[in-house]
Amino acid sequence: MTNDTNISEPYDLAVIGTGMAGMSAAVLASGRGLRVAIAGLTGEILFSSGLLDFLAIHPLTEADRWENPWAAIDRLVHEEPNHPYARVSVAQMRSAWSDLLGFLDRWGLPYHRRENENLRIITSQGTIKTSYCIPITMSAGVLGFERNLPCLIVDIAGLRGFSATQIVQSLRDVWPGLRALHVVFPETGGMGELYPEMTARAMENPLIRRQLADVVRPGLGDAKVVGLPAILGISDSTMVLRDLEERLGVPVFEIPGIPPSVPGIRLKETFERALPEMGVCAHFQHRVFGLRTDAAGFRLTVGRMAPETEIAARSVLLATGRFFGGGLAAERHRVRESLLDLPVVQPQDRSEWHRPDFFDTRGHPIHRAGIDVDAAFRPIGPSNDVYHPLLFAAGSILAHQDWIRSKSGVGIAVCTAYAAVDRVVEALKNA
Amino acid sequence: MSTVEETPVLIIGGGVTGVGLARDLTLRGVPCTIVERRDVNSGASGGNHGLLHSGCRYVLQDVETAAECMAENELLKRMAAQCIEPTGGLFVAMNGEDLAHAGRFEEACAESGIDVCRVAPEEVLEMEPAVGRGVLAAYLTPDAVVDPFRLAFENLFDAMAHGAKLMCFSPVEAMTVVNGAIREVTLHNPATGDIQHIRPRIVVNAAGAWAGKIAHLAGLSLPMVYSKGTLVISHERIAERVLHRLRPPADGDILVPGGTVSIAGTSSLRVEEPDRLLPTTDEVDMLVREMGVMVPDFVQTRLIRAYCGVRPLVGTHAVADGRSIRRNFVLIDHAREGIHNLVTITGGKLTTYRLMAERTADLVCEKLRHAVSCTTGTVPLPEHAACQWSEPGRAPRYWMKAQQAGDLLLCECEMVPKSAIDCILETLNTQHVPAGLKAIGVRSRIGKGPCQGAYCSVRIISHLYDRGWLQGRQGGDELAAFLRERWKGMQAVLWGEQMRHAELQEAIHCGLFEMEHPHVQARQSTKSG
Repeated sequence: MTNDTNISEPYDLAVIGTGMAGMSAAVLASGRGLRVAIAGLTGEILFSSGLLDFLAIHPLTEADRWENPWAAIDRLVHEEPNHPYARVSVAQMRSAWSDLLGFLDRWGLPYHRRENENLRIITSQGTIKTSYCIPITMSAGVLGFERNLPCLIVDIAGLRGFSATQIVQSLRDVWPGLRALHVVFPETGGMGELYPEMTARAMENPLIRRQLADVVRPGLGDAKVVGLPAILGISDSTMVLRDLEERLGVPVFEIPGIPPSVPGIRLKETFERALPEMGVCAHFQHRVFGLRTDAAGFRLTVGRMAPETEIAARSVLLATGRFFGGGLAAERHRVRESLLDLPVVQPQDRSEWHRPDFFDTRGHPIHRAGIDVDAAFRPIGPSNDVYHPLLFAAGSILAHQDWIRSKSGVGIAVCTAYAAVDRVVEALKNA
Repeated sequence: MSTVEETPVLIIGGGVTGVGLARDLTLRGVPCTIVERRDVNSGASGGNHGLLHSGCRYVLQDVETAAECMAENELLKRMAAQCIEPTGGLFVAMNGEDLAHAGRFEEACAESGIDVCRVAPEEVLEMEPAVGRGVLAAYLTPDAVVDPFRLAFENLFDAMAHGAKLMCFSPVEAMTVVNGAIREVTLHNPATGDIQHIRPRIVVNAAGAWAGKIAHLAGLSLPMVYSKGTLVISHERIAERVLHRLRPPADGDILVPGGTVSIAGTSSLRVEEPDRLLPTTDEVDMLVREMGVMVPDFVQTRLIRAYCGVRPLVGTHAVADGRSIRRNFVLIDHAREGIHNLVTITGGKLTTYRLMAERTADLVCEKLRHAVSCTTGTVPLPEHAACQWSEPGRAPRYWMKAQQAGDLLLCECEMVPKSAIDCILETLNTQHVPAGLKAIGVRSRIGKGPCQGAYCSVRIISHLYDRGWLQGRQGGDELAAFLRERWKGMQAVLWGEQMRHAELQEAIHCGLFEMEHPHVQARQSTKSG
């Protein structure tokens, strides 16, 4: 981590925000040869499920999930020309995914996908989740479900909110081959509370894995595959997975559950480890207190509790997320963009923000609020004027999309980050 | 399934009046059955401030109600102490207000027998720093806080211990009137399809805001005025005492503490129907604005929930907002309209529920020629173990003290452990209440903290499966119903920190668990491109 307070040479790009969009943008921009700085509070990426959605539902009211996300995108961009996806070409999207997955693979967090197909996996709630790329540690669950293989679901005493019985019961009509097993985690009495992160770290110890395999093995029966809560290690989950599979003699998969979860921690730790090593000037756990412009470009004031450092940069990418990430702030009478008070596209009145039914399949209008951008991903005001020719925005802060309901969170983050970085490179060349 | 049962007294309505009446009657040796269309306290008994009035609010326009409140306040503090936090009240007149009301207040209180004590404005700031500057006059009053859920359940359990029966989720569908008497009452549970016929000697209509609809089933006309009252709950406790504007009763003039939170209310809006009401953003904004006059920081306060109740007022349709109808209760003997075994008790206040029950039981006993007097004024309400979990701060104290191995917290906001959930579940069967999140929510603090159930609901569902209370896909339906219910209270107060919570909740339950399209979960289908 660098703490240079007086840099004479400004960075090519300062990324504000350390969620999926900001982290991906830093990776991509650095890969394009830009000198990159990034700052933000990394806490929120912990709440990622670890699943990389692309697009599964469109329109929102239509319950059937799209098998081919590219076909879904094709229809979406025709019907919603303001959607952020409509500003990204298919070629850019394909490159965005292969660059991101290549990066994660290189840094020890391999993902599984079928390039033209969404995957269906079971969740800790006994529901079926549609996603595009899933951690390799979850991949055996896809085949197991598709082929209705005899499967043992294992839960662990003290890990709350994960019941094997619940999963088996809830899915009995669609995956009748499921059975439940309740075990006590090695070297715990089974009485106290276990935290997923601690449990996952414990799984990095071969002795613990051997003992866990020993308590699961007698319950295997005819199971051809075993599902566990997402606790298969943090820093080298592939090794933990393969070792456990070898000990049990059948494929093993993780079942995603309520965040903050281990797959989210893995993503966070991977980005945090990789970016500084890639030469990105990373200010993790730092807040951006201010952003001003001068003749040379931008100056960001960053720090932990109070302003500590200034970062000079020729261009800025705003990837600060929505309400949870802090990019948008909901006041009682309006939604505000937190850093620059950029214009926010939003409903007229708070009474129109949400619908009376939480699960209304049209989604809540407030989730389509956000920053409007031009074709080059630069924030614009109501009269289409850009805020600054070298200020860009990407990710969930963008208006005209509902990432939660359409199951497109990481896709929007990564694809818009990719397209925005393209525009940054272009703009810096011309500047 | 269809059954026929006989009971001496059938009480329609499981609010605090109905369960209070059941206790009163069974203590007099009269067995009874309570039927409730939903769960206990699902009407106004669960949608109020939890204020044990001193009567001060009414001294200047309704002396009778004021005196009743004072007498019951004093009595309940002794007879139902476990349900009451004797915080005291503070009535304050703020700058810019008409002092005519304040000027007559002290004298009127004395006339109603209410002890109040004048305090200097500078002392107010010391007692309650949240109150704004510009206090013109202030009085300490005997107002207090009551937990309406604990009060209802303590009454219910004592009544059941003395022979009362409770049937929840049993709405009345029809009544058969023969020769000037209700011979049979038909209950129909739409969820299970169960039909039950009850043959009562006396029927008490204690259906609150729905009393008019019940009377209609007996062929009678009972015009009701529905007054919707919305309240908001803050994330933190703002004051130690009940704070009350010293002015004629109006909107947004009461702030009641409750455990770790405060409750501000109310609005008063005339509505046509008592069902399907939601707090609105306009009502919330009005409450924030009004409360800001007395407690200036309230405009910045983090609110975690809004809710509303319907005041059941018997009266004419001419009244605009319902504030001006007297708040005392109405006891009607329908013998004068030709039905000799039907009594209606409605209106009134939480504070006077016991008195309402006593008067009603007197009339019922007279009709039954059963000359036994009321004892609820002298026999304290016993404490039942399963009733303690609705009290704010109760679960954490228990959990810290007991520290049983394996007793994990399922709700971290309110620190509700597994053992509390199990204790509640054991009691549900006798109340005809299916085990589930809503039922647990009515009987404990789960889902009432800052996360509004996003986390604890998931953990409790898992626990219910592990304990065998849920099968098949019931858990998903349960969870969806619970989140929908919590949402009603969240949607009008979503800004600031609560907006962040709501977004996370949606990311979990819709983004990850894909609960918004449940029917697709039941079949395997994808759309091919």
